[in-house]
Amino acid sequence: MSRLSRFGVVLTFALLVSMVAPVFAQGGPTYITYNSYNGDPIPRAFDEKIVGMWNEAHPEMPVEHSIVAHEDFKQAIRAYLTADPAPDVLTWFAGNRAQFFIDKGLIADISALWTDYGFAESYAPGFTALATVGDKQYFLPTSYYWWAVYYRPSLFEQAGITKVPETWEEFLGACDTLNAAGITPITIGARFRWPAAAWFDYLNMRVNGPEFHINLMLLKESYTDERVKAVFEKWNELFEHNCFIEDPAAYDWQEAIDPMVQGQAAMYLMGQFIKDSYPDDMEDDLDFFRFPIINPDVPVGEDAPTDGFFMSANARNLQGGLEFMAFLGSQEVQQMAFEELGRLPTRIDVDISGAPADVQKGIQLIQTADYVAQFYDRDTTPPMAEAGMDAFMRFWDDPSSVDQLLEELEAERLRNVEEAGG
Amino acid sequence: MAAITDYRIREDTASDVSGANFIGLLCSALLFIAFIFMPWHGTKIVDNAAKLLADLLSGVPGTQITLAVAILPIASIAGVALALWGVLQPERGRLAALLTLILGVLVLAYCLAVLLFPTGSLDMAAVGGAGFWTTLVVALGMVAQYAITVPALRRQVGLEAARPARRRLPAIPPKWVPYMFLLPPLLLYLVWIIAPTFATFWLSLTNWDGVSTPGYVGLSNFERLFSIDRTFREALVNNVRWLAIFITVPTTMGLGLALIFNTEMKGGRFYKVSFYSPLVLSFAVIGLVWAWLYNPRLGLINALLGSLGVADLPGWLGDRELAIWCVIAAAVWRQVGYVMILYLAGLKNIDPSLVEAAIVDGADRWNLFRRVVLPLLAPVTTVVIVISIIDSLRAFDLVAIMTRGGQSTQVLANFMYMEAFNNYRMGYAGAIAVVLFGISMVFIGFYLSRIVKDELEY
Repeated sequence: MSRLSRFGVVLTFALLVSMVAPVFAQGGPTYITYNSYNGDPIPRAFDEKIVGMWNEAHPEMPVEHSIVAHEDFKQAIRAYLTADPAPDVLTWFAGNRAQFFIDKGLIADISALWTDYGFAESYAPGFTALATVGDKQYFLPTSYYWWAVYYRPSLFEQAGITKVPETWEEFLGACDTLNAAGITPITIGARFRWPAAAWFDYLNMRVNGPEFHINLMLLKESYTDERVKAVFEKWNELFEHNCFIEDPAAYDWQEAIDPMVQGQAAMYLMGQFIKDSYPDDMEDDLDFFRFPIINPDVPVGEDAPTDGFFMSANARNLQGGLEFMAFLGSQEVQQMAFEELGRLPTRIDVDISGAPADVQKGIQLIQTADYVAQFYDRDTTPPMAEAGMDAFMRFWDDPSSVDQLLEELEAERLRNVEEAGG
Repeated sequence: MAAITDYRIREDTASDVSGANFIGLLCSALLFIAFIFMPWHGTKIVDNAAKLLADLLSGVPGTQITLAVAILPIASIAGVALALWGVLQPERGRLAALLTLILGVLVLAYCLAVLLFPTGSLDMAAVGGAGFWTTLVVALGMVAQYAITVPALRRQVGLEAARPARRRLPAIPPKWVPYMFLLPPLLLYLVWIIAPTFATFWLSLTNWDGVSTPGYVGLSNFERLFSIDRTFREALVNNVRWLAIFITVPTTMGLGLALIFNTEMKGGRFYKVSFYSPLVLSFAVIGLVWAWLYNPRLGLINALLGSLGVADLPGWLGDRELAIWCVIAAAVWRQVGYVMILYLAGLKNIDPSLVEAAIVDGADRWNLFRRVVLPLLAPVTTVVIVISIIDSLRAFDLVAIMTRGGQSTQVLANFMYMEAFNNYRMGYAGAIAVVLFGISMVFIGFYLSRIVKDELEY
């Protein structure tokens, strides 16, 4: 017994001592945390190089860098942003995907970059607009890529098409000509559905104009609207003209390049990244044109998904993060990203004169557009995009089911509106 | 009389040290939990000692801790091992308790050093998290074994020949022993299985989006699932299809193959390995390989059909009617080898004399199989069917890899995953999880009741 009580005395004493022992405050953060999704080899090497440059220049405030694979990052983002402390700087996408977190108050205001670091002068106005919510900036767009109808000029020539189609009639005509020559007009790999969404984006922007499109994306317009139905009618015309390859859902987007390479299909509505997967020795025979104009009375909208960075509102190191973002958005880094990765700059002071002709043409394509959208699954909410893309593929299998599909999409839209309001 | 004396001697020497070892076991387990789950400083769980040590080892700048903190994981793991060793081998109990005591002293010394020299070279400037205090208390507990161990040691070396028994701490009652062994795994089970399960039940009644505060919405998630959600119905139907195929096709094919390969045949081992080898592939690899096979233009299947002169080649995954069956076929391909191995093991366990007796009695091959072999394989068949059911209910990987749920191939697990991590409807995904859990419990409950009944019979 006495031994036990002696033990108790010792324990109590130890606890008392430890309670009065001073708890020392931790000093201010001495490093910046940076989480990025650049998991693929080439962007990863570039990412690490940029961080290396920063760490060399700022040994007193180094960056702690972690890289997570793209898809995993997208799933982890909510955990990152709601963690306490959250990582300071993160890679992310413009559009609704950033908007959601900004609305929830999870993203730090980085307007200082525009006021104190001169971004107001050096950023293209369209990208400043993309960064802005209300009158404050939250997202730092640093690069983008364009979408266009990629095609093989040699196949057009072989079929006897002398000029790229600029109107809907010319486009359908080109499909007929190609079909007559035994070439499938358009290839698409829609196994994971998103390439089909590009068709909806462009048809909607060409038929109803970008303003209606973006309002539909923001869930402000109804999917049962006659204007949406008109989009599917245009889409159906493409089916009637046998424009697409058979069984598009059997292929992923890269597998669908193969018919083009084999000379069996002529066109592919795809992003600039098609070049990464296209055989290098055949790139001379790969060109692109603007998605044909359907209604000449509406402004021209283009898809140009934009990537960039934001800083979490819970960040431990807000000042360090801001300075690191100023570096990430600097002319120096954008120039390097442009030259080494071919990423299109969002600043106007990046020298693009050395770029290959196709890049010049792509920049021209976006700069002459009246409106730049992100992409279906970046402009609208994730569940809406999921339901939409599923409906597009069901429409593809059975065009006559369009009314029922649109009603289901409308129900999903209302559910999304309710969730956003609640 | 002699027997009783022996017993008393054993108790004198061994059992009181086992008490010390139990304290060591508990303390070491607690030390481990504190190391991983409790904040070393501040109140944030991410600031646990394990994270700090990992940061230090990977050279993260700004980590304010010294390598001495490595004593915590070493002491906790070694402590658990020593205590178990000591308990299982009572004759080594004293040595184990002594070593645990030394570990405790080391941990205590480390904690005191941190406490007394907070800005010194030994450790970071800030202490005071729950993890630190727990570690300190646990270290004291490990040292407190002194009270049991040292007298026991002294007795052994004869310094303290005959102290009255009442001076000792009471020995652990034997009926507690199994529970004390169960405690550490039960704690882990509670943290990783039971608690998340109940959290999911709660989540299914909310509209949590992963970011905002969850709002209670009653049963409306379930109402939506069962009334309007078309994808849910599609997923449920696909799971039922999967289940129907899984408990019939791979089961009979596996049994057939097992019967074939159970006989001595030339190259039998090679064929067995061939059928079993898909099992060593991950589902991701199987999904990719089969997606290539199904490619309508370049894939092996259509190439073969084309060379046979089939004109209208199917689109496989591109065909909404066929896609789910294509995915299930890939799963069956993997499952057959698994079932075969289970049945082969079962066949090896059949007493050959029973088979011989049946043959002597004039049973033909069919009757031999139908009336002798198959009934003897019944326990294996139960296992096979339960495994097939559970595998078909948790089907996820192949769908995620091959179609991501498109082409009407949605299954419950993938649907849940998409709702949670793509659509960020955590509450709704929780409701799907609860439904899936309910369905699984029916089969698992049936299986467990059979197992328990079997065990009671023995």
